Amino acid sequence: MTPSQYNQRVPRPPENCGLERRATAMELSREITQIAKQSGVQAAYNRLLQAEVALGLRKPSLAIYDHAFHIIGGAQKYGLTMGSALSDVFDVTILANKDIRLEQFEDWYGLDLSRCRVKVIRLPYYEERNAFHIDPAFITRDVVNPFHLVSRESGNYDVFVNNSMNEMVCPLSNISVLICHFPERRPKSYFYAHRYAITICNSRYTAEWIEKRWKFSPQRHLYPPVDMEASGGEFPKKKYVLSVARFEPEGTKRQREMVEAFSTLTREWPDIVRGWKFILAGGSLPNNRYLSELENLVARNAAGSIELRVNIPMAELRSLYQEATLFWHLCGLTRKDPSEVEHFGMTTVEAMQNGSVPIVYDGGGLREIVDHGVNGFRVRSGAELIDYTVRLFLDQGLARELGQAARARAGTFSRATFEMKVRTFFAEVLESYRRAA
Amino acid sequence: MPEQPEHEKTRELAAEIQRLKGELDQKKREIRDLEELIGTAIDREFPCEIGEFSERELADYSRDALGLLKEVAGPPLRPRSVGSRRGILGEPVAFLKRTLKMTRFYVRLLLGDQMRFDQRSAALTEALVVRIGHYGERLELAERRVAAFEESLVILKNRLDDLGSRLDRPPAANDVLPPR
Repeated sequence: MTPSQYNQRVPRPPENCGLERRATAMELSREITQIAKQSGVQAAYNRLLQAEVALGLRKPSLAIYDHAFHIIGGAQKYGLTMGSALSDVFDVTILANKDIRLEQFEDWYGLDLSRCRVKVIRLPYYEERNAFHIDPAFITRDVVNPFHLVSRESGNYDVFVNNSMNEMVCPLSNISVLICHFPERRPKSYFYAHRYAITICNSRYTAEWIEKRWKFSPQRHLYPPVDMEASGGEFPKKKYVLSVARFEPEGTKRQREMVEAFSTLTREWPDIVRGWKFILAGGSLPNNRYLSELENLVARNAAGSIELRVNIPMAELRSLYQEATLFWHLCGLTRKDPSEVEHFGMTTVEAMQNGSVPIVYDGGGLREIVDHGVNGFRVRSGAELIDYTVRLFLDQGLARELGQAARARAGTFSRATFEMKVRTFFAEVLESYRRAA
Repeated sequence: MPEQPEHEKTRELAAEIQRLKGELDQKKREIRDLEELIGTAIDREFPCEIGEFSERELADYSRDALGLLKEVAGPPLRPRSVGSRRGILGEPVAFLKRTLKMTRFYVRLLLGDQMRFDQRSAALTEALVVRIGHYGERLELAERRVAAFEESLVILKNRLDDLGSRLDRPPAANDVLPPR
């Protein structure tokens, strides 16, 4: 934009704008030179960005970065929902490291991102290795930090939101926000989490581990947006027990333990279990050995009463949620590493939004979702899972009652609630940003 | 001199901001070092708090540390022929090297015990890491067996309840939920 074009766009300044009243062009120039000398070129540039917003010369700009935006995932949905909610107030740029189109995001997550734009920052380190997954774990002090390219880019916006679990990006913007889904990495080489002005976490469980591992407390806590509510109200339930989780090759979602538990149920209580079906839905990459083992286990022990549904379309998943009476989720069972326990548990909330009764592992973020005996059950072993399941199989009235309570509880985690909280929070941030100018 | 109108002043400021931004943008591109760009150091050392590590982290850490230990406590140096590729200076340098080589016997005498200790320490550490791995496997197996027993207990308890209800007796007090 040329200066003349820019001048044509200049609106009347907002009232009580301190900078407008006191500064002349010459004074500003002097101030900028001084800042550049004392605090570096970036600080001077940031001052100009802030002045533009304070004078009302343009909309504030916000960039959301995730090194895994090209892969579908719950964490990515979190950041993009935030972007969508803020796109009327901010000029939103989605920063990715691999080619991705807005239409893909809209297809994957059903979000309106029409007012946002995508910018791809290629990282030569990963491009040269032809890596599809950008894994920061490869980066040690022995190599130049490839994410410095993203750090540099962050300095071109008023607000930079780092939505990825990648603390190797050093924020240079005036306002920097780190969204932490779990502090996987302990502070070591190229660790900049403490340089962000605001850290937002997705659950209290994550907050607790941020404090333990990073030695600071996150400023905000914002549960992820979950939008799996059935549009046509309540649906008649079928005798389905449902599990929805990725079939991870390491087996962290504990599908094997659930298949074994249901096999025990069918073997020990054939009369009670008759007519019930256990359906395990989830995504998987090709040549997944864990999935093959599960298929064999199902074929050997409970063919007919257990079904594996891999990479099914969204419509099918929705209808499974609507029909399932019970929902099982054991991620974290017998695991000792905190990162292997569910950090939040989006699929559990999705099931609850559809009135399924959750029976989940008693650990991690799941404790914040399910109130034991009020809107589901929390279990610590396969034995407890069996016990509570039998109880619900026998007492359909209890299952209905808990299902309704689960639906009510799940409303807390809706997309509308998330968007409202995001808008309120960023309005406060923006207000103090303008005032500070 | 009359006071400049506010609107005019803002226009002037906007133009100046644009000019300065252009200049700074150029400077930003020229500065290659991130620390120079922001005028402060960003990297620092963090203490390694092994006491707080999870089992998985400890396993990774042990593997890496063992690798380094074995590398440091490597095999003793083999004797090599002495020479120099420096032109005129070559002869005196080779002479110096030969003299130093002659003292190697005494150096080895002094350092021999230390080298043997290093190598054996590395071997012992490796053995301990492997042994802990075996214990971990056995513990996991024991946990699985306990879980299976728990499952059997649940089955028995439910059967007992079932029998109790068939005999028209009040079932066991299992309606009280365990505390969470």
